[in-house]
Amino acid sequence: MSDQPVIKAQGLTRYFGGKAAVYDLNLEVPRGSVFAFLGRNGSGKTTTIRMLLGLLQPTRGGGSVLGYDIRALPPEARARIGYLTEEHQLYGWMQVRECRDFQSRFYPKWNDKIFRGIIGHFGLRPGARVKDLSRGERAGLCLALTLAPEPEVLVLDDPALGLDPVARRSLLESMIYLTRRSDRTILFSSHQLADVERVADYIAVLDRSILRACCPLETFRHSVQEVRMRFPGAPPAVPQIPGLLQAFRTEGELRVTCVHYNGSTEQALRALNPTALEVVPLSLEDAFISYLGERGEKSFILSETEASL
Amino acid sequence: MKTLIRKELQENRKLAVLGIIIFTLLILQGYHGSSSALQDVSSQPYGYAQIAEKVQPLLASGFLTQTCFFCAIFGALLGWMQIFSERHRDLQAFLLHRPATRTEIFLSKALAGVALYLLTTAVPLLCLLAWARFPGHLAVPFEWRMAIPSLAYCLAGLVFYFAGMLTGLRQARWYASRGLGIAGAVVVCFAVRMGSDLWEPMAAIGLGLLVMIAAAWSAFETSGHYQWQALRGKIALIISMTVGAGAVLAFVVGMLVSFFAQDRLPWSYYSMDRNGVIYKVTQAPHKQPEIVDLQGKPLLDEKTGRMIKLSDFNARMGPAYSLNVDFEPPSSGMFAEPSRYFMLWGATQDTVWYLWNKYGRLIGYDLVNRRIIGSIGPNGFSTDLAGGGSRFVLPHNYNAWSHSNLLNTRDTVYDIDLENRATRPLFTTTPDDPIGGAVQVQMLKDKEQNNDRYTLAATRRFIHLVGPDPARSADIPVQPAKRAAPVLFSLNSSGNASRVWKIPYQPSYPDYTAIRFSPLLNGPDPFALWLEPSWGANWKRTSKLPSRVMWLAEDGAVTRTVELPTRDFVTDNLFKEQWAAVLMPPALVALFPFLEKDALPLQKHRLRAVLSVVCSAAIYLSLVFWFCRRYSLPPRSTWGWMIFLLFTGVPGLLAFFSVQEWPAREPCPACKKLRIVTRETCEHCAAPFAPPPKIGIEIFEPA
Repeated sequence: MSDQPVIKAQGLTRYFGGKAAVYDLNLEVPRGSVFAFLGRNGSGKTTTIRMLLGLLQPTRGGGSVLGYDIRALPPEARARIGYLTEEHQLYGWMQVRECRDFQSRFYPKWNDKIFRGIIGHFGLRPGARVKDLSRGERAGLCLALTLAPEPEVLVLDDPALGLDPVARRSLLESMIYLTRRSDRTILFSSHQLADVERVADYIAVLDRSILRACCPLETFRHSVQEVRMRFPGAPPAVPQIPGLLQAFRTEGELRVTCVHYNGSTEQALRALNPTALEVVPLSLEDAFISYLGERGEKSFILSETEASL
Repeated sequence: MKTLIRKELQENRKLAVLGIIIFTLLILQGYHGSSSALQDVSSQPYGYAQIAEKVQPLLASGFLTQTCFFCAIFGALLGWMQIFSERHRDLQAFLLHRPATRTEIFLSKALAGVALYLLTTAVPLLCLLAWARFPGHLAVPFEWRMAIPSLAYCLAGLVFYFAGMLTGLRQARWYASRGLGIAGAVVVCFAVRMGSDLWEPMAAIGLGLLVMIAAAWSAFETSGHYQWQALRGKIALIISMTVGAGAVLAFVVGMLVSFFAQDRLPWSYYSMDRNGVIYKVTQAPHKQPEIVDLQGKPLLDEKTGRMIKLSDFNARMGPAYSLNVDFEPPSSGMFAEPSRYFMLWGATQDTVWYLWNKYGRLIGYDLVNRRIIGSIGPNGFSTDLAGGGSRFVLPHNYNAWSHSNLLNTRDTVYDIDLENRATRPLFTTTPDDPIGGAVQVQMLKDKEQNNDRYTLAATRRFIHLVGPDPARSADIPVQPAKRAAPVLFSLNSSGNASRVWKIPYQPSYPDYTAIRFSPLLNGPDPFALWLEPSWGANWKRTSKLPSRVMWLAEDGAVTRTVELPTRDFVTDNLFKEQWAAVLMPPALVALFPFLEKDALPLQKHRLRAVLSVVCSAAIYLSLVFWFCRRYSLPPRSTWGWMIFLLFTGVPGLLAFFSVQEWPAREPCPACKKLRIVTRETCEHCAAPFAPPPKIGIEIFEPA
């Protein structure tokens, strides 16, 4: 049972009108892992999460969480899944203590120590009304409400969205401190790649509603590489090489970012006769931007630009 | 569930408090209107119609209308708010991701909502009920069942509550269709208003609730999507949408018809002047009324020589007294009508009297202390309500617009003297010839000289005119007058002021139930008597029953008789009938030729009926078939919809379009045809969907 993936999606597809928000998504989240879900805005991360939690019906395909079909997650499954929504929406008329009372009655394993610890960390007063809280405070309250039931699976949808760096750091610290203590599975989506780099074991990258990458973080980082080549004059045009993401041509230099850099790629690049060729490792952020950025060749050679004008 | 209920109660309590305040104010206003209505009751010049309808707040039409509107609006608003307040997808997710089933969440919402709704509406109503029930508060009869109309509207508001929820939940792309549930609830409200027996409004509310709860429940379980609903939810949703669409359609068609065909139909009636001459008046829109005598000669104004104006003509007309004859107890009428329970009969300076149907007696109230003072029955005044069980027959001729002093049992007509709290028999008949109605009339000559009132009474076999002197009113055989053959009896004595006669009731009851008595001023005949067919009997005889007019001499002898043909009604409605047939369900139109003759459109034109059925059915079925095929609905659904549309017509078609969620279609890479995206495989060639194309940058490594 423990070898089974905690979250599984098979051919998960969702259309809104005539547009596919998520198309044929297949992934498995192993137990105990921290799984980051990456992608640009509108790439389908939230839609995928909402489908996995049974909040949105998939147009096609299916999946399971904790072994339960996502189309009909029973209450006992939901009790084991913590879900933090991206905009940290709560009932504005409730006080912090009312939120706790409301939430705690649903969860027999409610850990008030965790709750108090987190709201203390965020400096929240129990009598404060939710509508009067700042965005960061609301995020802290939401995190406390999500973590206090001690869920087996934690799904966080862009938890740091809209938070200032201090609040973001507080949120991350709380998350890391409280989730790393046990064999807990975390699936979270984020645009904060530094956070992802700090906590994630695995990442999945959605590009325009299609899953393009699903692998351990290190694999991703090693798979996306930059090759810098020097040329005596203007660099030549980049040939068709497999896995090419981007190419930047500047005076005397050609930088190529590609996936799965290997012998054949190197051979194709050396055929351009560079004076020097160097493979440079990328940070996750750079790798991610290259991976999801605009593909193709960009030229910053002044003479060519003028000629084109 | 308790937690969720508590949360819902807390969340919506402000709306409930606001509702209680508004409704309490409405109730206080209604109560004030009722309690002050009797202030000038004894000095009403034109009867008690204005007062009668509002004297009992529980039955006052204004109050009931306010209650109906308030309950409907508040119910719909509360239901909609309970969904709308969680419209943000994250807040919705926070709620739905509880370790509870959606059914539990829905039931929590519904229980809390119903509790708040009832608290807001039923509690103030019950307070009013308790207040009105105790003697000394209102000088008006009270029965517990009088609370039924307002409580029925209160319960009907629950249908609006679930319709409001449904409106908030539905994810219809055709946005306006989200409100069709509320239109369906309006139909329920209408049915409640039209109900006559208790079971009718209760059945309407029960059915409405059943459908709306099932529809809202199912919509909640699927976040408002039709596609994933259980069959029972789909059926309930379709019913509510069809009923709502039918209501909207009826409203729109009604508005269009009234706009385009306003007063387009000419109509006519007969009228008699003071000299006993009958004229036929035909009125048409934008035309001067045409007034002709029975020979077809137009009535001209002597001064101008032109066609007389209607106002001048009306000034020449004499009074006419109508008597509706019926030997059966009167129908109880709609359950919200005060006359179903009591009739405001009369008043003196310090008392007000009601004919309380329950007791069949006049019940008096003291206007000062608002307490019962006793009752008047055939046997006179009694300090208790039952009065030993003697009862009057409930009248068919009650007219709240005019004072009446007459009440009758089966064999005696009584004059009621409220000042002296006494009854005086005016006319007595034999047990085998019961009384079917009586009305007071005045002679034109007498009107100038004195206020003597005569009594026109109809028994099963005769029509009697009884003089003001009760001593002459006994129904005793007299010698036939030496006049024309139809005269059978005359009780005429020598005095002008006390003429009394009886003539056979011919043509007889039950075909002829309306008697019109016209006292005349000049000429040899002082009276004219009209016998007009009942609407039902005339309908059955295809409007062929004529009205009979008899001119009577002073001794009751019939001097002249005329049979007036049925007034002209425009019958050429073929164009409208065809439109009606096209809009109506084909299966229903197909039945028209076999139903009661002339009762329904296109019965005279069977071929057109058949063509209409065929055309409308072809349009509906081909439309539905095309859409079902285009979006690959299963054959069972396609057939189901087609049969459904045969029985529901345009409303069903609107429901079909409003519930369906049309999925996107994209070309199948295998067969190149457009296929819907909701199926796992192509509906044309069964090819599965292709995985997303690889572009060479994929990084996959299994965990």
